[in-house]
Amino acid sequence: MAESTRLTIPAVMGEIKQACEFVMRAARHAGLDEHAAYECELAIDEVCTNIIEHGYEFDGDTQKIDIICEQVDERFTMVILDDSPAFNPLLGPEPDPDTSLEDRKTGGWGVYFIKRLMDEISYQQEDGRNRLLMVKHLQSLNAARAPRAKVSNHIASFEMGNGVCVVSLIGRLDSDFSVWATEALSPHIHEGQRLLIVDMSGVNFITSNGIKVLVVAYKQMRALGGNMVLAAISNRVSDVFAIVGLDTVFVTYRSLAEAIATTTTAVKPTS
Amino acid sequence: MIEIQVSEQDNVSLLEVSGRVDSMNAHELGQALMGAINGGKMRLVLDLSLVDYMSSAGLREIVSALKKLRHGAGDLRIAQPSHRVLEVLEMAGLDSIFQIYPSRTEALASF
Repeated sequence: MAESTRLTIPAVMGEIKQACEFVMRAARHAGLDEHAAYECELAIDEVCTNIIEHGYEFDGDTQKIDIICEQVDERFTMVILDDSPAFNPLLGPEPDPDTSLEDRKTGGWGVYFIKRLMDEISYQQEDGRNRLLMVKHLQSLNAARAPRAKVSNHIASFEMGNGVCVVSLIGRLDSDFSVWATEALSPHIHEGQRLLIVDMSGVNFITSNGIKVLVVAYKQMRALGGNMVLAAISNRVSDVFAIVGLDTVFVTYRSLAEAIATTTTAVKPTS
Repeated sequence: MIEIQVSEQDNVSLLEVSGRVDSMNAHELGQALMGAINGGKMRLVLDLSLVDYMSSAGLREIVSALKKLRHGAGDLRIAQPSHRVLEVLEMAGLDSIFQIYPSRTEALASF
């Protein structure tokens, strides 16, 4: 049963606490444990802070941020809508936690935190508004998977418009993650989707089930007249592809940037 | 709401923070740290045992302070961070950049 609650706050720092409390209540109500609810709270805090600081540049007194929480089956979803200039927070460069102090920028960690705290994230423009979707999985769904490593698996996707979508898979692409990756990929596979770019930079381990996910998605895209390409494949994964003869099936790019760059030119399905 | 108590022990400045450090009040933490640094203090211990919540806005302030201190051969060391604070420090990879001590005594004695 889907149950949805909504909160609208003025886009000012002083209101973020209210958003945090609202999300905490909804998360607990959905059945998330205290720590997961806290992670939702921290994520919403970081999102709202970014919108107010970078989106509205501290001038959002008359602007609004809408937050819609919903629980559908085993997923607790938070949708954040705002009217600041179009900005996809998932596209920025990701800070590296291994950076030394000298090379480290003091800011830029908000989005990184959101990605780490949430199980799924996606961004799109909707009716001229920024729409960020964040999903936290309920305990039972997590429990059904293998024990989670310190760095949890996650998926980030964003519709770039014009029928192009980027999906980043991060984690060990094994049988457990595969079930979930299939679920996360499916909304992006539809008619009118020209190109699905799968960012593999975060995958350093793949099993046959993981390969199957990619092959199935690829076949579906081709059947719909679109194409699917892979970007930034690690050496280990690339070795596995070579062993099973997949290296000649997928079109691959060295980096995500390179894959995205091709979309500015015509996209031709290649085989 | 945060509270920051500043004291001096054996030439080390101790800042005890309590409360929730977020984008609303992180600047207060920044001001306290910069106040000590600008006052000539080069050895700082930040006790975070009573901080039950810290967003990246708080990390930004402590990293700025650390950069400034290490530039002048000083240091900012963290004492007994709460579980949640330690988690965000780890998430940002700061646990390998800051010297973190399980107790205040150890942090103070480390200088």
